[in-house]
Amino acid sequence: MLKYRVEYAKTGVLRFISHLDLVRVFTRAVRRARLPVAYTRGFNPRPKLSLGPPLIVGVTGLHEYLDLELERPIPSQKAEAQLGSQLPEGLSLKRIEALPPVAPPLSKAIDCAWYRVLLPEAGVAWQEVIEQLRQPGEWFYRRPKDGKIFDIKTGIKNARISIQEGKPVLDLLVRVGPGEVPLRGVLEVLFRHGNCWQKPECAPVTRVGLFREQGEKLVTPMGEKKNFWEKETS
Amino acid sequence: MLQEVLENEVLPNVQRPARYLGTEWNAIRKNWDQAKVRMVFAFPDLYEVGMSHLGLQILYGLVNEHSDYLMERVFAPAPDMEEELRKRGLPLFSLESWRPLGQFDVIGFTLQYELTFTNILNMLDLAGIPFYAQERTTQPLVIAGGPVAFNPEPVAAFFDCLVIGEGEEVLLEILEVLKNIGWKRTKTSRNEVLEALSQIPGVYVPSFYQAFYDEAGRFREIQPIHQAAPRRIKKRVVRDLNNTYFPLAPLVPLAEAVHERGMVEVFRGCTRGCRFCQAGMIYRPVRERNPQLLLRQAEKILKNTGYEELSLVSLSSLDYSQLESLLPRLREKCGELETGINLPSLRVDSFSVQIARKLPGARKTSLTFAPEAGTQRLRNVINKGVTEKDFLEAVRTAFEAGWQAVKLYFMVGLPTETKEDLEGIVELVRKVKEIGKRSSRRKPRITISASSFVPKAHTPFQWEAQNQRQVLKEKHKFLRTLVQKSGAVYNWHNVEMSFLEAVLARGDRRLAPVIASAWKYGCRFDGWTEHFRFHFWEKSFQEHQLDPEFYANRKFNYEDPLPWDHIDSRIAKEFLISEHHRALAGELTFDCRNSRCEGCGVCQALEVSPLLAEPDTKGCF
Repeated sequence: MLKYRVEYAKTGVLRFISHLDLVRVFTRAVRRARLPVAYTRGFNPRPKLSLGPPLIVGVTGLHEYLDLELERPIPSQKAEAQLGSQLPEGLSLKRIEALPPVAPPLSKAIDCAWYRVLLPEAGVAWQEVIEQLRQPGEWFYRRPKDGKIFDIKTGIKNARISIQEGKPVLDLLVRVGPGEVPLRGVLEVLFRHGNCWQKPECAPVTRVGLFREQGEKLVTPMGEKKNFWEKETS
Repeated sequence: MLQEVLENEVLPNVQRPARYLGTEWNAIRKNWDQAKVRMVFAFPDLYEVGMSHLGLQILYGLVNEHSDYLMERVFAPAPDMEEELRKRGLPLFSLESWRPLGQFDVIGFTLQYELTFTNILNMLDLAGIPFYAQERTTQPLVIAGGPVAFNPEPVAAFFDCLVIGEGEEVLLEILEVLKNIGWKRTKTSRNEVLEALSQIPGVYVPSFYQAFYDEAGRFREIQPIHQAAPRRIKKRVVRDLNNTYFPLAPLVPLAEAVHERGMVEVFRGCTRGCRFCQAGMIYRPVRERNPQLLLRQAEKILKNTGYEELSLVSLSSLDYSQLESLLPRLREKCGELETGINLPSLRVDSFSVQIARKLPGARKTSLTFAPEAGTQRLRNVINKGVTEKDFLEAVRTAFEAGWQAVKLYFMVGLPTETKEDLEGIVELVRKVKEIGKRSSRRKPRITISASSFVPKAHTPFQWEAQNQRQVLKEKHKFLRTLVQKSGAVYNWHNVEMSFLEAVLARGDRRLAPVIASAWKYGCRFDGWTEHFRFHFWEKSFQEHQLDPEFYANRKFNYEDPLPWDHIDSRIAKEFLISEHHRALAGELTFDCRNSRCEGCGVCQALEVSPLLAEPDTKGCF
């Protein structure tokens, strides 16, 4: 089987579709694109595609990934043209690369995510919240659906506040996969510690990128190395 | 402004916001200013339901093909969306351009089910539009169509006009009238428009008619009170489906819909003649599409949508006369495109099962049959031409072919039903179980799905009474106990919902304020068990001093004027009466598709004949 990795962005109002909806959107786009995609066996053959870690409904993703298995090789450019023209508004194809057979799957190629949150202005001392975050002590979050308790500090690898266009912006590097804490929980607890009255659901969140941490560097699933907090190119 | 608030405040706070985006694949967003008439298609149920509806896809594509017209969509907002809109004072908006409904020239509702009426009012309210057509001045024209419009009287006062019959014939004519008149959104212009619309065959303008009742509160007659209004409104039909519009690039839902599959409509109309079935009467005559055309449409639809499954849609697709010529080629085509084929309505015989087992992508999970009644006597009464032998043979074939579960539809409370008929259902379940044990290795799963008989306008059973609620409940309980004892699952449709459906299905104009009250008390999504509040309906009937049982549980006489007598389904009333007689005598009436004409009158009235598909003589499609 030939594996290809697709990089795309999920933006605009399409950020409001769920992960499962997105799987259906891509399945049909791949079928419309007439890519020589491999199918699963059984009564209901489905295109073999696997998406990277889910985005929460409402969160924009600038560099998202999915892996495709094709039956025959196809030039990347051609695949890009075919699939790119079949994506609904809000999904934009960035590129498609053939993967070496030994390439790790997305689940192995990703262990952290960089989120950017536009914070409400209203006089919250966000810098202090971030400093407290770095101090020892547990910050608990209880997931409503099953009551599971998380210490959000264990899920955060790094955090930074900056001011952009006069507004506070929170950059977060959080774990994905083992040790992951739900992003909703992270934001809820941070907002609570900042005594912020606004609901975190309404703060615009963007997932800037997905990476695997390698020493001081962050490596994207496409193999590019980035320095931490390097100004993202989108 | 509205867009910003929706995106930043509303959508992040509702469940499944994908219902409201309007950026589906194949969505059409036209230039607002260039369109001469702008219409929004309003489906009074959730997105998931409405997006599975073929009628929406047909009209959406048809209207948007015209450069002068624009059509957008809106669905009933889920309760959480309604709350978000109300607390911010925001109007209901269309999906494509997120514009308030009030900005459109026409709002067109589809009436598929009586229990969506409160949703219609809710949508009008959220759009800031008065419920009663008479109270509207500058607001959009509110129109409707669909099967429930064949007795429009309970909701007649809410609509400026209704379309009787097949919408793709009439809608363009309506829009053309609006374009030519230059619909100006004033009271004067409104009256001018309604007069012009009333001249289109198949268009009913309720405000041009008045209903009269006698001292006992019975409906007496409905009279035109406007000189332009025809005495009877004759239904419109498409003559030939081979040269009519069909959507080849239908919308592909973003939020998962009830059915997500490509649809080809193999034929319209059904002449099996089941005597309870309204669709079987009002969609006559049968008009089939040619197999070559269906194959070409299927291929285009699959390529334009990427759907994994193709569905052959009609009231009874196994009756398609060219099925055996169509299916092998369709299978081949679908094989190339890695697509499954679905036949939504199986006939109760082993031929159907043999066909179904050969369909690609057939998950052998569960097969559904609808014997409808438990004894041969009662099946003859309803003219369901199914014998026990055929049925058991079908079940045996299904189990032998590897299906492990069957689902059986029955109707409870049918005219002339006795205890033996109910026991007959249990007896059938026992036999199915026996066959299952013998012909399948695993223990078969049997599910009984029982509804309650609802008398519907324009059917031979329109005069029949629905059983009292208490009686229906006892019958369902009786069946449940026995069916469960024999190891099958028994599901039944909420009795109060069926009762209300019967009330509204045979109702008259006096019900409009009752519906409005029910909405006021908070009724929404009455067709959804989790939202249905029957006590609010009871309260509304009391408030208006109307007895719902008067509508549902009363037997009508043939001489009684019926509130829908002015709606001409083109079926002769004499035929319905004769069918009713034959029902009571247990006599069968055959399908005119492959037998002689039974004289329902449709063909004569419409000057058409049933149109069967042309066989593929050249063998080269």
